[in-house]
Amino acid sequence: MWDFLWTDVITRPMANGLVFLYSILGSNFGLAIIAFTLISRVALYPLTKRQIKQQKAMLAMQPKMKEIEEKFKNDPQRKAKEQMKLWKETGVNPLGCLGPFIFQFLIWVGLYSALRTTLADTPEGLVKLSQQIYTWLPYGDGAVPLHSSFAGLDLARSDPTIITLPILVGLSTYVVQKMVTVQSSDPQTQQRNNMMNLMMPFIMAIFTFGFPSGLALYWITSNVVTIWLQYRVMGWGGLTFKRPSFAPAPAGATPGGASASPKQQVELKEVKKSVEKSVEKPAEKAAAPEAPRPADGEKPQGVGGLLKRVFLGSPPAAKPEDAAKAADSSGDGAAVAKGEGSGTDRNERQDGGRGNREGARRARRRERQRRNRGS
Amino acid sequence: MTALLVSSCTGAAAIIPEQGWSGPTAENSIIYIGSRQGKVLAIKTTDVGIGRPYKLNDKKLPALWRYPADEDETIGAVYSTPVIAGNTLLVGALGQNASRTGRGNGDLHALDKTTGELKWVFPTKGRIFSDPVVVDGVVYFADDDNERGFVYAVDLEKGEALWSPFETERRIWATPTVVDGVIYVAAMDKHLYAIDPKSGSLKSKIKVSGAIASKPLIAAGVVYFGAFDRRFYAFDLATGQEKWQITTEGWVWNDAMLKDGVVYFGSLGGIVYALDAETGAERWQADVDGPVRADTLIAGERLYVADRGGKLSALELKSGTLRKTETAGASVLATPFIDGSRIYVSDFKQNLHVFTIGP
Repeated sequence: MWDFLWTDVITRPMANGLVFLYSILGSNFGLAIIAFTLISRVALYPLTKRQIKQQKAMLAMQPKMKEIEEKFKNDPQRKAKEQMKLWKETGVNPLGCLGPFIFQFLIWVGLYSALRTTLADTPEGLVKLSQQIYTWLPYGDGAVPLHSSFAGLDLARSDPTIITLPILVGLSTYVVQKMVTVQSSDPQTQQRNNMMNLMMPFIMAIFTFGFPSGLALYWITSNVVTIWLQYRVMGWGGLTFKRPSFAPAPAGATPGGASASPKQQVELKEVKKSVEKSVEKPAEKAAAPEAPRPADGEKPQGVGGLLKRVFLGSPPAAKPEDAAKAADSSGDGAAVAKGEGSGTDRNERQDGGRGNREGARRARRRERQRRNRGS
Repeated sequence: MTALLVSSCTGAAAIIPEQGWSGPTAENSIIYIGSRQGKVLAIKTTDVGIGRPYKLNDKKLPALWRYPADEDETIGAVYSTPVIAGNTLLVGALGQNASRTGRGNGDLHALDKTTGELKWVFPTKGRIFSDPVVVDGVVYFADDDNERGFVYAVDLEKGEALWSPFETERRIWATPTVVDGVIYVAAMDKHLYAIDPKSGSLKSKIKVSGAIASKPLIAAGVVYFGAFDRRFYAFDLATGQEKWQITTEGWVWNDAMLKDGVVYFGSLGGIVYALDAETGAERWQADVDGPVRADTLIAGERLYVADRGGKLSALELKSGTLRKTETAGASVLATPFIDGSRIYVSDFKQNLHVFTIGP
């Protein structure tokens, strides 16, 4: 079963796709890998888009996080609880950014197997390849054996200079990590992030050291695409090496400390508004008896739930559409929390019942004002 | 993740490495064969019994000699089936570093077939995957150097090159054929070359749509060969015109056999074909299940076919009817050898089997 899934569903189509791209791109395997990477990135675009939205929302909620950080600095448990609550209310999943990365890594592993098959230059390898090429694939058999040279590299072998590709892979992965990582107000989290920012490039560089350079070409191309997308949407992010600051951001600066274009500032402001709305609205919602509460049955538990949270970035107890709204950068899609009020009022937090009653009164008052304005 | 990291650090993540699939050859009750450990062995036929395979990688098993004699020394992966020329045994190998670097500096070794001592060695820049051919005291063989292929002519006695190697655009994995004073060699660049054996210069070439790794079969002015484009061709050598071609199930990577006006060959699609040599009309085809890489062999009225599934099938030459099946137990990619009433088969797990032929 797994063998069928791995071979016939993943690696064989990949290998045939590469052979086809090679045939139509002037028998150049380097171009085939670059084209393959671009196609796979287009296929992963919905996930990437969601990841960037989540990132925006996380940036926008940094002041709130800082507030929680300061408020509960002596109570780590409460702090964690409040942070979780904030994530839940805003629809932000701190693991949401892993989705595209995990898929890219899966493609990387599949590509490794496909490269082993397609770039075979040994008799054993070619016998294996003969069993993999689809009979209906245009130009498939005529392309064999494939040229594996590209830009002075043998894509079937590891980097002959030993260090060039590992450095390029490590460097580009580091840039991506820095750009996508949101600065955290929590020193521990920030330390963990910093560690990850160094570990990932290091691991990928080590992989590159011994694996075919075709894989390095895929990873570098994919990183360049990510850098371009990130820059277009978020600016340079955490790459500016500025000390993170969560004081009111000066004009032209993102909460991560990086400068952003005017368009990006507008977008971030909108997201910020949506986050603020999302943490105020629950108090109003709490007043309404008919407001849906997070039923136990709704909580995505187990592996499925975890995958859903990781890949779709949905909050643990929110409906997917709400999560999508929460992450929507347009501003009108602010998250509607479905739990109890969790506003910033300390009393509300300490006394949920009183907070709810006050919230309900406030909500009724606002409803009356709205009706009066309407009439 | 950990496994990937480990394999990366140890360099085990390279493309499928060369392991070798040397076939056996026999003369005067002695079998000569290369092993995946980079050795050439001379084994008495009596040391290989029916149902008692000889393990080529077992150093304790008796052998008349092993080359190189030093236990730790190796000549690299051996794909070449040893060729006997007088008292000399010729075998090509990939070189000691082939498996580690993936780019061997292969050598052609000439050994004293009685003692296993080295007479001479001819170094090349590439990997030798095909068998050498000896005609009139000259050894012709081919190798690949990275992407290109080379054909060499070497004096059998002295081991010296007679002319500069003939170069092709892509690798050569096919064994050359020398007929009527012309060397014919097929290459992965989809060409069949005709070379002058005196000077090593090109006489003519034929192009098809797929890479060729089969030794061309030449008979009555016609050349027959299969290719990786799932086709089998017949060309008129005088005119260079195609006589006929057929589409096959899978690539063709073995040498065709001819008997009584019928061409026999197998394909990697697991089908054995019998075609009329003149017209290409199909006489019969038989499904042997496993991909056929090894050459088919004719003995009496039987066609013997070893396949990657580890089976040795005996087919009726006239009808293709399956008469007998033997099991080697592991993939068979090297061509077996028929010696009287016995057939020697080496499998991919380094076992040398012997089976009887006949009814």
